[in-house]
Amino acid sequence: MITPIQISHYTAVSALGYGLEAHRQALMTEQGALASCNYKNAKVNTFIGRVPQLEAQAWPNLWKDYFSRNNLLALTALHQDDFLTAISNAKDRYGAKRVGLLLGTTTSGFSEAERAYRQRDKQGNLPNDFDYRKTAHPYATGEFLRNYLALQGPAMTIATACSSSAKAFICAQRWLQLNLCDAVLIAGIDSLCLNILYGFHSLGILSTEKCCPFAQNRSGLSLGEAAALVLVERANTGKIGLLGFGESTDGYHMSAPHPEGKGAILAMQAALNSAKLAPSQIDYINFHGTASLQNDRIEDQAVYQLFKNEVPASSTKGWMGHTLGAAGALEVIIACLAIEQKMLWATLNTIEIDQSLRSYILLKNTAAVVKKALVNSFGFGGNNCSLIIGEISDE
Amino acid sequence: MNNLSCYLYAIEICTPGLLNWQQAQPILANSLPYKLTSDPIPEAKILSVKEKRRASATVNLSLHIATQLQQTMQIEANLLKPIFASSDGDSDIFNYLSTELAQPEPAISPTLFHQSLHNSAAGYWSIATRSHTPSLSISAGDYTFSNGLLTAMSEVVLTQIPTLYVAYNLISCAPLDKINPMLTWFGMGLGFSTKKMPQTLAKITLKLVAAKSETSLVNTSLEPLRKGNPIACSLPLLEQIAKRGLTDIYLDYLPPYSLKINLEEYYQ
Repeated sequence: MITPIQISHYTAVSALGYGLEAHRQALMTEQGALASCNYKNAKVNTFIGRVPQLEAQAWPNLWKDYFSRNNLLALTALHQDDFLTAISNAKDRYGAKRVGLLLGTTTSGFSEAERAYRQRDKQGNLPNDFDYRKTAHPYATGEFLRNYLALQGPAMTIATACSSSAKAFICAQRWLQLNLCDAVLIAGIDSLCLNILYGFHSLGILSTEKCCPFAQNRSGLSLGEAAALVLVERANTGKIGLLGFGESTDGYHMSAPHPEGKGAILAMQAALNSAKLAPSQIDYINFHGTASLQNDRIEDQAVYQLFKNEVPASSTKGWMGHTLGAAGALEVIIACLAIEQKMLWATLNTIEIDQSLRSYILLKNTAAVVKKALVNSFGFGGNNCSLIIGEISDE
Repeated sequence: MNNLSCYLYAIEICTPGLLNWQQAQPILANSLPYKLTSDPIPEAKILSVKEKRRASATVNLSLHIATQLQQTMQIEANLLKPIFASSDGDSDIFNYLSTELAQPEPAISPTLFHQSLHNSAAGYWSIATRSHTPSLSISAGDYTFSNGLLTAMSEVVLTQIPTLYVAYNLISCAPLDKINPMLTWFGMGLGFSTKKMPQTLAKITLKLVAAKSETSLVNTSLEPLRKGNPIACSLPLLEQIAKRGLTDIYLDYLPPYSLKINLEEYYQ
């Protein structure tokens, strides 16, 4: 059994809007935000979850070298739900040296590299205003957040594709257990760029409509962008926190899941074991559920093997799309909101469930007390991560 | 933090002029002059014929090192937990994607797109070894090596699963080379376990401490290499092990910290 960690403060910015209230509102009223792709210069026929008016947000001149869409998303999220105050309180309580930072990202500020390569001069040189290390480098947003917040604890980027910010929770638990720090800022931040739009298009897995996970007529995923910030500390009884986690690799294929979902089953089972819970003690499962034909089928199979059709489950990707490296932390927040609102979330956009699927898939928001939720994040390269979120008890 | 202690089982290096630990050891131990050569990145033998055909430079370099470590450790590959650390990831593919996306009608290779992911080495390793053991892929700029070492030793101590730590970085090609210059490509690896076995090389202890100046290299001919790749900051540690040295080593961690590393005992 692991030592749980407490989720002390959180906020999110996604296509659903800025801050928790926008997310609560959209979730409670079943209002999704996917729209036909209008990302600049992207001629890709798909739907995306783009953060509204992100480009209009102010960027401080003092930090101009760090300007990128990813860092702008990070900064915008910091200003929601008194998150800066929460960080400042943690620094006061523990000292800046004791506050760590774990960033989960896949894109970093890739859109800045796209701009710079478009603006090469006749000799092929990149423009002088392109600061690769501060914008497009895998650690760029980590360095920006650490400097902007004047944190002095350990910091790094975890880049394991779509499980990046889910794995950050595991690493944070280890850092707290080893007494490397007293609080950790977990940041899942991924931003839209041509690279992911054209990249996923090349793999042939983007839907030309709003993604509809687990539907009979599902045809692929919708990409989105988000910043999900979570501050974690050592556990206090009665608080919501991370109760367990499990991880595995498929050892099968770079972009397709194991045909029997072996990796997914191992990750979920390990999460249950680490929290000393039986499958029947889970009240809600937030699927990875990207709406890809194959991945949904395999995840359903894996969930059915452990939970039969007894635990209600849904994919929330239909609201804001698949936010890649941010999805893990964002869906932890969505699980926290399920606990807070006593509501199991719908699988938005899905009208008719694929008849071959057997797990308990929710199509509508359903009122219920949620004490423990399991969140799945499965990524490219066949790496799987399952987290269990719930109230921390004395036992 | 408390001290993190475990056993070092295996050590590997792969960079032009120091293509493996056997070749590197006398140069590091006896301070022989180092000469930069133009060796190509070796092929990762563990990959299937099909995967070899399309393996990227980062996959070849990192999996070559992981395979060498695994053979020295004499532990089945699918029982090892791999931790991969690279500052830039695959800069060749970064350059390819950025160039292609600057075209009015970009057409991206799906293979190169998935290989551009920071965790492609971890993915290919798990496929080649049919492993279900979890892995991790990280970056922290100039502090990538020290963060990866801290992560790998934390993992082995907390999970008791023998761990492969592989750190690597390619050079940037044009036009990125002008703003992210490097001397050459560099990869290294360490194998850890909490159990002492006949093949154990040494006992290693690590602690995060207040910043101290970095341990310098005795072999000054390696200094350009140390400064010429973000992972080559590991050279003072490798030199110490080659010399079977016992004094504390300090490597830069994010300010205001340093990593203090100590090799207490050698068994070989």
